[in-house]
Amino acid sequence: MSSNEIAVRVENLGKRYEVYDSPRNRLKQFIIPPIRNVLGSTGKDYFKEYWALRDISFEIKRGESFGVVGRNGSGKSTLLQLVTGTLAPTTGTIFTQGRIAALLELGSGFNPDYTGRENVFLNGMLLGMSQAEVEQRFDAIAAFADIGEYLEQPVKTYSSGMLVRLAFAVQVQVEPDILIVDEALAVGDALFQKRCYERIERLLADGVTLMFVSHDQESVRTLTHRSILLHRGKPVFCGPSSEAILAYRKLLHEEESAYFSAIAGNIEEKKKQGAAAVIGKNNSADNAGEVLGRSDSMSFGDGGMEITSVGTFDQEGNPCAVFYPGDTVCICVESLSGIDTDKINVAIRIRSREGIKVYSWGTLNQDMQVLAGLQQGPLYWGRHIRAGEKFSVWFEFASILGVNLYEIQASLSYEGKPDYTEQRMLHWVDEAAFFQVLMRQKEYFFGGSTDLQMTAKWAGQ
Amino acid sequence: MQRFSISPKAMVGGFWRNRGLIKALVVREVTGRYKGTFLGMLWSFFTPFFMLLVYTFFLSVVLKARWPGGSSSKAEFALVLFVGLMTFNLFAECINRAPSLVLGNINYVKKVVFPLEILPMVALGSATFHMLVSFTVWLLFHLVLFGIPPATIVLFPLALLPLVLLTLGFSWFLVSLGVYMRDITQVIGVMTSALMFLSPIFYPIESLPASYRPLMQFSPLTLVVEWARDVMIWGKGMDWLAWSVYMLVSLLVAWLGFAWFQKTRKGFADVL
Repeated sequence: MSSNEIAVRVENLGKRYEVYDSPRNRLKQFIIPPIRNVLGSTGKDYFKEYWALRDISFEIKRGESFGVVGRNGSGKSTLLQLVTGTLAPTTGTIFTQGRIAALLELGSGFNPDYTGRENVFLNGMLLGMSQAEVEQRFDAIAAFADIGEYLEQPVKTYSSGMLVRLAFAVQVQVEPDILIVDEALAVGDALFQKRCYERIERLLADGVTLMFVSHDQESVRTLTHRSILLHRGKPVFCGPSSEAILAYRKLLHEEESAYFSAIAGNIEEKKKQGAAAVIGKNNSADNAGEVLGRSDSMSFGDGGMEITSVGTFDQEGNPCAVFYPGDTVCICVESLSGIDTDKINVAIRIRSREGIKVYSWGTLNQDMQVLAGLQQGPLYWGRHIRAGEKFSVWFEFASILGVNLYEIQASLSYEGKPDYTEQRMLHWVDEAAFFQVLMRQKEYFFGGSTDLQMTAKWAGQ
Repeated sequence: MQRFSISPKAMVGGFWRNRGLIKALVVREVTGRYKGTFLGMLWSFFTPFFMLLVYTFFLSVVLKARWPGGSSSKAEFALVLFVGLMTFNLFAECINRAPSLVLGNINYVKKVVFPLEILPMVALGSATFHMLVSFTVWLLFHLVLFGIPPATIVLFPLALLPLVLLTLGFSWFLVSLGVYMRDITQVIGVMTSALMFLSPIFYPIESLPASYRPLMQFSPLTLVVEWARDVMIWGKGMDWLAWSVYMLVSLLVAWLGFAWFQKTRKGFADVL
């Protein structure tokens, strides 16, 4: 491959930040070590080192589009800044060919006191155009930014959306060879984003090389050919974008699990209770991948008794995690007691994806109805449970829930009185199980979170 | 990131390559200073005009001061003083602003590839503009009060040249230092104020006891202020030998400042 087909080549790139306690130490570091070198002595450095990026190597061909994905703080922006040239690398080399236009964060290089118009000229000239060339393109830039008379106002009065509109308009109108776009576009409104992506696609068609960072996995997948996945400053994967996104998702999932179990661990430690908080794998996880198989859970409680598993089932008792309106949803909570006791309440709470409590109910609620004489049946509150006894409670309801992903939290509590006034939490489990509610669009449909089971009739007939 | 050459060629090249940008920025700065005011650009004229008017009135009518060694004219003191002030302001404006030039334009460091080395040139450009306005005001007063100034006045730009280069060198040095040590801004403010009185601006150097006079030469302004007065008021030529030596020293300082700036600028993005 001849070298003029390469737009960006990065070899063994590393960026080390020297973290100083004060700027003064930085100046010392500038001056004292060279003097020490001359004198032949050694001494301590005045900084702590932190590697923001390490061992990065890749090549981008001309006309190729290249994505950078990774979590916050994984070094994506640092990488773009290094390629743009606003940061100096600590190790390795960067080779770029052609005019680079970069959209790093908001309003790259705008002077907040200058008007939009002045900034357009300034920015254009920084990108290597003459005043006349900017003037020639000014109308196109103004039209693309589409911010009206604000163009004559100081940039500091702009909203973040306006800022990025103007910045993007300038960057794409200067006809760059390499366009570098940080996740800035996210602040634009939907219409503007659409126009940006259209524009980027057109630039790509014209043979512009693109480097693109976004948390929107979909746009990375559609806009870029290849991507690099960074994790804590190191390359994890570099290859076709769809595979990079997959690797990124996997990474995200692992991180999230680790995060949740860390939280659970913290709670455990705080409570310093003996009860082991190991919760059984949720029964429905093996249901054809329809549910999020989450084996880690968060739990706490005074102990003595623990929930061993929570699962969702269909009417026939088969594990099931997808339901439709009207379906009977069965939730089974299995527990193991370590003590002799009575006055136990087994309860669940259902929360939607947005974290809204949809419903909470327990065996005590039913007992209260019995005690009030509204219902016939056994009193679970009075039931005696022996140490070592395993017991399960089946909850059952006809689903009137709207489309969502629901989380089940389960709890075991000791109720001194059958009215929730003397409660002691024995074991509480967050994210004990999940289920999804879907809808068969053509048969039965409603919008919102609850099926109010409305009927309609035409009046006046 | 490109390597930043410290060669004198890069110093001149940077100016030439970015002349369009420098011009645009200077214009923006000059017009921007009085933006939003009713009189706008006229203020850059009125400010020195009223200042000189006040000086003239105060010094000649109230204090009845006479410039030692000058003519007996009352208004002369103000005009002599103003020449010194003009020169001082050119220097002080640049030096005072230098430490905050990069600090005030963090975007230029972190968001775009900006030729940072032109920032002191831009400051110098705008200071020069204001000095030119002051000069025009001075000329006006001189024409009205004393008639046409001596022909040696054409040497004025030459007299200033070494100071301009020196200022640029100091600025480059201070711009970079200001990024790493923010205290510099405060220190410089005090130092330039002191320099105003430690240079023969309000008095001729002859009014000092002879033993103190050599000390005065430590102020970079002393020679230039004296030259400026010589060519603008007293109609004397300049000491070309001294001028050449000063010129050489200034070139060296300018280059050293530039070299220091180029060497240290790599770290800017990391500190800001």
